Amino acid sequence: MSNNKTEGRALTFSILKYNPLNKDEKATFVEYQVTETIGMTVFIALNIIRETKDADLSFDFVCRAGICGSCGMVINGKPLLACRTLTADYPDGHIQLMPMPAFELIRDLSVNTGKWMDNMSQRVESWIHTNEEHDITALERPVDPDIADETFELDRCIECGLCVSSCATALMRPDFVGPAGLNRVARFQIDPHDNRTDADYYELIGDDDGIFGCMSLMACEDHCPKELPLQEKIAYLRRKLVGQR
Amino acid sequence: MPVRPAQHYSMGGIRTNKTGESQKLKGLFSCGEAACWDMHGFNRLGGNSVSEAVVSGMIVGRYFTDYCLSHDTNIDTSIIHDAITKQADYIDEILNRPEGEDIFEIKKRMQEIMDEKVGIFRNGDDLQSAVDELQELLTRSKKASVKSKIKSGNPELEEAYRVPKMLKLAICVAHGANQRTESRGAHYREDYLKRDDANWLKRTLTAWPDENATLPEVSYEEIDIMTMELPPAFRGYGAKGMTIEHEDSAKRQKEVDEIKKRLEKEGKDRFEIQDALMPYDLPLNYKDKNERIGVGHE
Amino acid sequence: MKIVYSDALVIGGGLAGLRAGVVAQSSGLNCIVLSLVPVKRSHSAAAQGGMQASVGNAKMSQGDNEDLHFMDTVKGSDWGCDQEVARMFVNTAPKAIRELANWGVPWTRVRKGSHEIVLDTKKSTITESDEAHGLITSRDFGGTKKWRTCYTADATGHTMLFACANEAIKHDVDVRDRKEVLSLIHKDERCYGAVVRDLITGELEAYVAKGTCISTGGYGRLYKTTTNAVICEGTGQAAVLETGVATLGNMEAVQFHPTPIVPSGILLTEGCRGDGGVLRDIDGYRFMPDYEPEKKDLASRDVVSRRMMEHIRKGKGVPSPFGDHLWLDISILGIEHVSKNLRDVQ
Ligand code: SF4
Ligand code: FES
Repeated sequence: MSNNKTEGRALTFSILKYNPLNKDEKATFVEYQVTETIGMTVFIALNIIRETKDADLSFDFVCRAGICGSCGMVINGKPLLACRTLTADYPDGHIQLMPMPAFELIRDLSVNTGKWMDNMSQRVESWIHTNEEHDITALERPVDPDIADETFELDRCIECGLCVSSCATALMRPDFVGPAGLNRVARFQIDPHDNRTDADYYELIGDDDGIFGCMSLMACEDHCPKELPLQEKIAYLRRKLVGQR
Repeated sequence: MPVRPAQHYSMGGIRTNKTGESQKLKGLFSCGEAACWDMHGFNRLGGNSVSEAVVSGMIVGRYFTDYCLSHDTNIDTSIIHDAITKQADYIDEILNRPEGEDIFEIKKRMQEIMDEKVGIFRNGDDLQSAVDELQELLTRSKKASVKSKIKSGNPELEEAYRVPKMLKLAICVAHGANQRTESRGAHYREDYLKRDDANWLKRTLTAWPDENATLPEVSYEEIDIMTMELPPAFRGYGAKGMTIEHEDSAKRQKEVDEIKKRLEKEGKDRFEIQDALMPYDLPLNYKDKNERIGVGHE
Repeated sequence: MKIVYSDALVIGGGLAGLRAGVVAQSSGLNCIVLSLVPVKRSHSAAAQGGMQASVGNAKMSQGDNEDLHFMDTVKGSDWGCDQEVARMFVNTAPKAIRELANWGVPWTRVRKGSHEIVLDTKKSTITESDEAHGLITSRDFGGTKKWRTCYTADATGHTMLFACANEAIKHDVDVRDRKEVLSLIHKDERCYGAVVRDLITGELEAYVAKGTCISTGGYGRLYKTTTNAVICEGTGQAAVLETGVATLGNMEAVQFHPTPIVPSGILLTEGCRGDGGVLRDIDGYRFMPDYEPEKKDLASRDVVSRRMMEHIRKGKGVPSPFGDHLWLDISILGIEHVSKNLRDVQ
């Protein structure tokens, strides 16, 4: 409990509110005061605000443990998972919350990352492609433990969208598959169960909305809460797929 | 790391038969944690939850699919309309309530009661007072008002229609726990420390036929020891000598031992013996033997 | 009024619902899956520790089979379960593991050769055979005879959920999120679908289908401290209860996990103890062997939870502003093991 010292101070949350379904309304920042408690996260604070000050405030949380990827938002200018963000990390007690850009706004802090990620999944055909039939009553096919671990590392993406909202290309090009999409391709490319070839992947992402759209600014990797090696994987994919041109 | 036990998993849920279909409503299936298909009884083992999720998705999913393949939707549209209208009216009613109860407060209180009185250690007094207070909360929750009157989004409106439903479930939990005067698995009564196979080897069933009632209707489904493959005994952990035996347990155990002995002598394998003790069905090839290294499909 | 017709309606898009949806859709039905949240955000993702199935590949799982898994499950249930259902389950579980491997779950695999493990706070060495190399491995969990829990490091539920969700996308299952069931449509003891509220627009819609399958997870949020996600409010069970006809079973059977973190309630996976971590009290004393000489920290969850509360009641808890707690000590496992297999614990 690192923040014993800041307990009890007054925090000021400044939250961008907007309901796109209500055409007359304008986006405005609304301020709320909350008293800090030990170990307070932005998740806890937002719930207090909703329960005691503004029953109408919209935001998304599911797991509140950094597992489900629901709660990405821009906190004092940086995209972060709100459930993993401690208020104690903001020494001046001012916390500004905005919805993540690059996604369709649902209301207030709630954005439709789910829809974006679904489109991405369709686009990169995010499933195992194989024409082998496996008998599930028989032994599974062996996989090199290192390869399994490597696949797992990239499979850890929780589709939170932080990488997308911090990516300059994604903000400029709405059709860009984003770091998460490129990571997904890298994931299937390693997986021995997937029979797709480099040519197949080139079909999917061999353009400026795919692997050649990345400008290597690296913001994605800095913000990924799962610390995925996005730059390395994107660079690797690019080297492989350049050969397919 | 600082740890303390807390609520984790719901063994109870929508009661189904072995195919995952409700015992009362045809065409209604349930699988995963939502269901009481009942492979967990009164305590689930770690690692059996996601396992149940997928496995019941496979098995119940199959029976569910068969049902959909062999049935039509021959329902009057007026019934559909009535069903929607009823909910639409309910939402309007909530939005139009005069200023009243705070739904967040009610929810919080419910959660506190459940932690304090329907938790790890349970007893009759606490459970009764939980049931009483939860009933009161249920009545109050129907007077909860919401500040924002818009229909889209509106988190407080969501609470206003969800919390009464949650309270009904909470009452089912507390009331069922109060009635069950034994300790079994995760249900632990300080005033009834023993597992009582003689009287309580049965499943609690709750229904809510009267929508204005504040208590469910409770009935019980017997569990028959004489069809068990593994008759009740000591678990191998927890305190010993804490069971009130059912007379069938020893009887069935003897029967099981005899069948086993006889079939082993006849050279039957473990699958044949299992089948003689307690036959069961599975769809597709799910009943087939699983291969393992060193032993093949044995 | 909006009425949506389909052949098969699944309410709840976690692992169970998605898996059921894949069967329905791939059998030629037009299947709709409704979910409160985008399906990959379901609470299934939080099952970090693993999935039990008696594959029996690793050294410490050899000799495992359906019979042992069955016995553990029935004993765990304290004889409350339906034994036929438990049999159906244990016989299918290894098939489920293998199917999921084909669907892309990167199960942690057996590595041939010697490894150090922690057994009962002592380090020891086991040697995996060449034959098992690359097959799916398992770890130890509470209440089991053999090491039976298959896993992908500390994110098993996540990888399983993503594999099923991806398979659903592949099969074109019509998945619609931010939809909440309000009531079931039924007549003459048959269910015909549900009245559903769109959580974005607030619009009410009727989803009418030949069959309806509810897989909305548990009702942990009836409690104040719970490991459950905020969406586990029992909406599915409530809709069923409110039909007035259908029944709920054993609602009082609620499990308490021994090791959620204080105060957040976020779970420390059973893998912590399975891999060799132990519980300690205010004096740093390992108390579980006194209560449970045989299974110690790895007795079933109900037993360990009660023993912990019993110990706290004896005054052996560690006081904190959030009430007394105990310690879970995983230092013996070593940094490397923790940062790989129990990463979310850090
Ligand atoms: S790659 Fe990282 S930042 Fe991007 S969606 Fe996945 S987990 Fe989030
Ligand atoms: S709520 Fe799940 S990641 Fe924050």
